[in-house]
Amino acid sequence: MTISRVTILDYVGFGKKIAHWAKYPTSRPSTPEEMRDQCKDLAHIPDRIKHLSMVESTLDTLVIKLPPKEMIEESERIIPGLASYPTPAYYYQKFINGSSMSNEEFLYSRIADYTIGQCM
Amino acid sequence: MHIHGAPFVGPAERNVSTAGIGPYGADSLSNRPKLFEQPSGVPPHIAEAASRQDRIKPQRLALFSKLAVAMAKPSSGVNTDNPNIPAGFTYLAQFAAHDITFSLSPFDEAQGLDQPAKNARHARLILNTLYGLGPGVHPHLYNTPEIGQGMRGTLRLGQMRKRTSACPMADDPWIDVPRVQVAPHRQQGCPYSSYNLDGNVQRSVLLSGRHETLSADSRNDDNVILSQISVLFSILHNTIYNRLDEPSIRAKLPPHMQDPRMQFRVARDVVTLTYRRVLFNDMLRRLLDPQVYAYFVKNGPLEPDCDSKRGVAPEFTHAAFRMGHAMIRAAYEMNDGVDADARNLLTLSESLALSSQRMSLELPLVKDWYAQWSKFFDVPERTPQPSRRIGPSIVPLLSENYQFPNNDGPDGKPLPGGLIYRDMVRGEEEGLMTPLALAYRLKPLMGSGFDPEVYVKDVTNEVVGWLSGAGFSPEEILELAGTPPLTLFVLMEAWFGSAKGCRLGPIGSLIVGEVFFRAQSETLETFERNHHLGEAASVAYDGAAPSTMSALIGKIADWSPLEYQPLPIV
Repeated sequence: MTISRVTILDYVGFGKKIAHWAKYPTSRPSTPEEMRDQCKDLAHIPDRIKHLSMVESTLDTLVIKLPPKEMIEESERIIPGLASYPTPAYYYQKFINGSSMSNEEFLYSRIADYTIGQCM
Repeated sequence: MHIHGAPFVGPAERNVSTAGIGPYGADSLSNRPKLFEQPSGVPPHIAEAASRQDRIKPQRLALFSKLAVAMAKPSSGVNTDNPNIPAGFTYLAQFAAHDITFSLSPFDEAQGLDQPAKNARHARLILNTLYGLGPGVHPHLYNTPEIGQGMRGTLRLGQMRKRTSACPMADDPWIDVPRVQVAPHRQQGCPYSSYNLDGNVQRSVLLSGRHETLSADSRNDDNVILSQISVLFSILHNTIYNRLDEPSIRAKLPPHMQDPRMQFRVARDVVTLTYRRVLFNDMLRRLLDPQVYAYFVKNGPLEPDCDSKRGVAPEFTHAAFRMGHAMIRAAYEMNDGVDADARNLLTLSESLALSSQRMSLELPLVKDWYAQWSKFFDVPERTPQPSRRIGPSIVPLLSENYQFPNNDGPDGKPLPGGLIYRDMVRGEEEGLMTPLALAYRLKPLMGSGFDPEVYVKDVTNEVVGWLSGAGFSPEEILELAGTPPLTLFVLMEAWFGSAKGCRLGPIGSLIVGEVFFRAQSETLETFERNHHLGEAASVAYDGAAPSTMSALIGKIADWSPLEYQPLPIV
């Protein structure tokens, strides 16, 4: 079986949640259970996640979040063989379906995507 | 407080009859109160429907928007799982809705019309949404027969594909809706070839895929699960059609049905009868308030013979049946995983996107997303995922404007709220009956102890409490609780009723039950009261026809149609 990924259910809503955590530190969850509860219907956090660590970037430090080696290797194995890249549907909303997605909605979707993206 | 309605009974305690819903006696169809007409003795100010709103005040639109956002707030700490209604019924209900209504005006163009859109479904719940008008009128929906094999009789299916291939291969399962290849606009060349006329390979391998759906009702390709409900009934039809082709089985049919020219008609009618048994005996039994359901089963609809009213009541299309949106989950576990590398959690966003109208280049559907039906309906020894409880808590995605845009705000800017907002606006535009007017119609169904005024007041008190907790001001609460959108009222009476969102409350049940049972009453003689058809169904199934989704899926699994191979059906 492949490694279960965090699945974002609502990119805009989850992006807003992350932006809120960034701006209001006391709102941040401290455990996976707390995060699951806050993010119900916004993101699916798989059972394999037992711990939660939030890293706060600052303006003078470049934080590079390195993905787990196993995930990189798994994606390198699977992705090249796919008929099409598993692109999140919001890209379609923004670039194929005309202008139904606003820049603000796209921003939050991107925040959700790059914050939680796990090599897929 | 206790809002009227019987408490929720879990599936194990529910006495699900497998005998099918009994066709109520003909004499019971007269001398009954009318639902969507003014009853006598009711003061006009509460009996009147709100007038159709061509222009809703901006303040009220803003209030609907705020309400929609509040309803879509993530439901932290709230149990939204509905143990009474497995997730698949959400989409069976959508399929049935398409079989009841078919607007002559495209949905997005209906706004601003002088008159409400007309319903083009003149015969309802007879699976026109699947069969169209049959092989004679819609031959493209049916497989071309082999030479010498007579008329078209089986429905076309499409193949799913592997995620590693843009097109299906010979060994891929035939469980997608049929999709065909059409040459891209203004591109010269054979649509069945990967090459253009000049010999160059087409720009993208995906352009050679089969993207366009062949369907009697393109709405059935609205999302992945609905399209597979449609496929399930197509496979049921094809299997029964092929069984009737066997001389030993055909010989058991009533004599006038043994003519090979009747084969399609008999198969179609058996499938339609089965579908109706499932709707009335399983889906509505779960969905409706038990007392209201029992009334309809015994007596039939309040208005059985209203040719002039073939248009379906807007209280159904624009309010009560919008409860389906509240039943939608944010994601669905589609199957046990088709292989070690497959994903099986399909998000609602993906489910909506994977349609010929939207991300068509990703079609045909990857088989990773095929529906294993034990995930959607309760079959023995498996536990399906539940639908969401019916109430004012709706998945946030349905409030996103990029999914469901509007330009109702100042200067044509959008108001937040997406589909939830739009549901409320549509109802207001139609001018729906007030909850109190509908509560008066409930009296004969609920018995002498039912007081419409008290009932509506009780629900309204709950609405006030919920709005207050959601941060609405006293003025806003006064406005919304005083003249609530019917959609909101229906959701609230379900949520705060004794079943706690596990089914509709009495008013929602009255509206939905009336529309379904009325549709059934129009064709009772053709189906439920047609004893020859009953015999044919017993022959086709080699026993009693299924009357629950569980039994139907079990039957299809027993038959093991080749289309599914090698994927498990349950």
